[in-house]
Amino acid sequence: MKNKPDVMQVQAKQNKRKTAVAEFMLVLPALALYGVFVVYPLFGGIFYSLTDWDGVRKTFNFIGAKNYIDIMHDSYVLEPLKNTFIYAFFNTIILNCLGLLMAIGAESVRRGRNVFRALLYIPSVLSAILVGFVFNFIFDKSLGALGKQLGIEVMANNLLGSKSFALAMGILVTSWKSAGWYMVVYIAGLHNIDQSLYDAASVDGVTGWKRFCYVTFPLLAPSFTINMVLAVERSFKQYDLLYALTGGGPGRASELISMTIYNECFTNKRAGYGTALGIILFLIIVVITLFQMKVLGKREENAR
Amino acid sequence: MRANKNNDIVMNKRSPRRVFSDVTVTLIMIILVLIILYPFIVMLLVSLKDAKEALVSPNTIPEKLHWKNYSMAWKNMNYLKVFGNTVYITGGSLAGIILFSGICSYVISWSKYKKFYNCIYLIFICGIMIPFYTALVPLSKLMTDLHLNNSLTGMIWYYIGRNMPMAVFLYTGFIRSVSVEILEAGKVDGANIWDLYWKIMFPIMKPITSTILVLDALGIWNDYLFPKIMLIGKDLRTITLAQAYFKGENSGMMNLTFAAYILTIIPVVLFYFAFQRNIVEGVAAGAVKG
Amino acid sequence: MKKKLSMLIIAALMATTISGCGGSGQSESKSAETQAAEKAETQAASGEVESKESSDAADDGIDYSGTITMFCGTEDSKAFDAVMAEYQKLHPDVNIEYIIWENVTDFETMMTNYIATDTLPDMYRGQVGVVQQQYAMEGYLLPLDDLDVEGNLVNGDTSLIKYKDSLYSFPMTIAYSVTLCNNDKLKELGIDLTYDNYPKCMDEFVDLLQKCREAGCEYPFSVAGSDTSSCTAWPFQYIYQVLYGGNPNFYADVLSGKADWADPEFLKMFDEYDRLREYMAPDTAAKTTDGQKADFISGDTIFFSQTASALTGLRNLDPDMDILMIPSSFTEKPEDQTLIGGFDDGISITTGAKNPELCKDFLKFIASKEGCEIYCSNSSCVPTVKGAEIDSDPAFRIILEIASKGDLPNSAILSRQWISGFKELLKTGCQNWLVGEEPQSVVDKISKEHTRLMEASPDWVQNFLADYEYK
Repeated sequence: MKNKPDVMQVQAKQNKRKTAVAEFMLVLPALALYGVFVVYPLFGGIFYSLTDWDGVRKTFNFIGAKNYIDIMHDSYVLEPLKNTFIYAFFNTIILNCLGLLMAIGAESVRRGRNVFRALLYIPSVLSAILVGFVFNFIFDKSLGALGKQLGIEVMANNLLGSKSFALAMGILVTSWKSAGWYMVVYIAGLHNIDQSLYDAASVDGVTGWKRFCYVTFPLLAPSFTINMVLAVERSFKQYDLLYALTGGGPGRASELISMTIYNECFTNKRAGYGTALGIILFLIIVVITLFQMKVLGKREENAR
Repeated sequence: MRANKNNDIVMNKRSPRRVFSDVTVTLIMIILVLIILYPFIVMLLVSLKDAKEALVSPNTIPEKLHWKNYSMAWKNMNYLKVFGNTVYITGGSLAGIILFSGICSYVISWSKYKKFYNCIYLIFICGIMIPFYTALVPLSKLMTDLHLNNSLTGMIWYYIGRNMPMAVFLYTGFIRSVSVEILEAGKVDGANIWDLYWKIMFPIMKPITSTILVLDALGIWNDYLFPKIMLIGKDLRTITLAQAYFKGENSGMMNLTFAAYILTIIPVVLFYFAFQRNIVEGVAAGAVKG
Repeated sequence: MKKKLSMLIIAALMATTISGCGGSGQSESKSAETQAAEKAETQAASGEVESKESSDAADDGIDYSGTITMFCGTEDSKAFDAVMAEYQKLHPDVNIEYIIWENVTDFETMMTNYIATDTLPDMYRGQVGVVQQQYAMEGYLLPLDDLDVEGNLVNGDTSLIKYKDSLYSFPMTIAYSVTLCNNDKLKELGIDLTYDNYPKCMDEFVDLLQKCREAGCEYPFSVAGSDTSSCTAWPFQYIYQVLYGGNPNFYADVLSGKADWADPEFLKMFDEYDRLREYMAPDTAAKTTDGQKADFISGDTIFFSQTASALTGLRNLDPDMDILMIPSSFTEKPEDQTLIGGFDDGISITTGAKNPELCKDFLKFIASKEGCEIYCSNSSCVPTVKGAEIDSDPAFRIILEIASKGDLPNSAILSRQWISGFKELLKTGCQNWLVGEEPQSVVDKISKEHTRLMEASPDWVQNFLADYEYK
């Protein structure tokens, strides 16, 4: 009589263990793949950033933090870093404004809402390489011809060849490509705003622009947060589009830090240095993203 | 839909002014759409010209419609193979992502060992922000050492691993917002974790699954840099690689290049139109709830 | 139902695991099945067997089969296809596949990638200048001495295709770096360039440009600013003719610190480039090579500097155009003019070749008189093998006459050995100059970036100086 509860207890414990193990088995594949393909290379990157490996040779030397110190003084990498910040800053603003405008516009039209939304989103599904090459052609031929007709010299001579405009054009092309995505997120946000709030607002006589400022925009806070964070993050990770569009030129006027890293690792054969640059890029992204989430997260809470 | 109703109500109250602003809005939208569509029109026009005309006078309507540009582009690009490769990589990766991250998030959210799995969750979150370039060189070395380089399947494993953190993040966020009672019914019947997940949880998670599918499908399908480094063989190319190499291999033949581009765009656009609703809902669910 | 779906997914993944991880999935070169079966008929193969100056027949009775992966430039594949078609008459089971590089930077970057991931292509054709020595030194190339083809070559500077006295690369063409002219347009403008009156120094060249402008062509000189190769073509020609003309050891001096890119000799180059600038179209900075070709073919521009291999691309677009090549003419005095030519591109076999014997046999075939003739006829180039005769493209008429008469001394090899990344930084400098930066600032930047590269690879600098023979 007394044995039974003991046996049951032991069995219960065994079962508990079994479930615990089974649970972990379910987590394991995800964790393993993530560990192998993301975490391990990151630590590998940190390791190589402390060496002077050139990417090809079989030997290398451990040089400690020298790469990082060099980066601080190296104007060669500071210029593309500046470009990337400018790119990220303007991209975020333009993409969000454009996306919001398009969302409101798409929701406000009486007819053909689906058509508009679909057409405006299409550029987002294209590959960045394709978009870059096509716009390279357009800036050269189509806009070039247009510029000649309008007499705008800088346009006639291909805006991508002008030091001051190359990066700006990169920003515009990115907007062309991605605005649709941000529009969709804002549309979702708009749909989530409870109709009753609009009704309450119109009862109070708050309409049009005022309604937008006091009702719509604050309630879009979650979409806004997501879009801001993603816009910045994606700008820092951009490579394909600008590579196909300008190749970083003219000179290095439109070179982004991602291109510099790739060039350092593969063309200039300075893998250690390039990887150190990559680590720094990662840290920058982390800091900015955390900062953004803190600031915008608070705003979200206030909105609620 | 709700906003529509709102418009209708207000419309009846202030007709003339409303009509005016309606027309303005529609006009603006049409202009926007034209700007968006302009490059496509250019591509189409150039792709139908012959080589010399494409180079020398690209802005005009083609003299003759050279439809054979398309068949040449199809052949030069080895379209079916390239398309098949990309479908294989994308499909395989998506299947893996959904499968592994789903059950992983499920356990993370509802396991009794809160502390342990919270740690694991944090480990995943940290990976979201790692850019590709940070680990470029060690990654290529790793893939080589594992003999996963120059192989389509190797790419699949990489993409699954890479997209795991974001997927886990989205899934976990979603699952945590679902109440536990749903499972209780199942538990009473004595079902185990596996059954509980697939029979009850997975159907509920459909919106987030859509989100992840949409985000990752686009990302993997259009990826350029990683395939460029990893896939060397000519018949291992993905669509983006084919797009990039085509231009170089058919240098000077802009008409062929654009024909090739249009060929690669068509399936994606068709797919998008077919699944438009799911895509929008997917993005919406992820963005707003996440 | 859901369970079935999940089972299916898992099964699919497992299947891919088993098939995928099994091998590195090399789809290119199948494993060689070298059958040693002696085939009498192939040895007696009539007109197909080439008779070379030096030794063995191309076919030694071994039946080769397999696929060769060739890493080459855009315009080379047609020539290789033609050679392979001939080779297949002897060895029908051999195929060739291509990976194309678009420009020199692409070539170097991708090779770095291949080396890092251990996926070297079987063979490649590339510029021997920057990386040949390094690849040979680090053991990524197979020595070609046992093929005994060096004797086939015409006279020329072989220092870059050999490393420590072993041959690592076989040059298919004598590359000339020239000024290409649209002779149709010139005739239209009433200007007649012949063997006797081509420009022989910078002043004469600028006069020619001015004549073209007065006759109606506004911007006769073209540079494709966005392309590395085109943007640096003229500067390199100047460097070979003028800088090296004055000091043949210029680069060695730079590396050892005796000279610098910021020195007045190099600064002068931008001043001279400036004389040409007014004859360049205003949209030069962003022009692509496609744009340049378009301008050239339509007659909007008349001259551009480039290696003679650019001819192939132009012929693809317009086979009948009268294109003329004249030697570069950027020296101060006519008597200093040289003809820039030499062994610029070569074919090498890497140590990653799946079937080295097949690759070697193929290379031997290409390096024979017959192979060379086929190759050069299909790529509008000048052959390097003794006795090879082809109907050269008429564009070469002046150049070949000069070469055969020995009128002009030869400026040694085109692409010398430069430190990795040098072409990129020269391109950046030229682009900066094109958009209006001051020459002094441009050369200062070049100097700084070059020092940066030198400090990053001190071993390379050391090896270069150790192996260098001062002239």
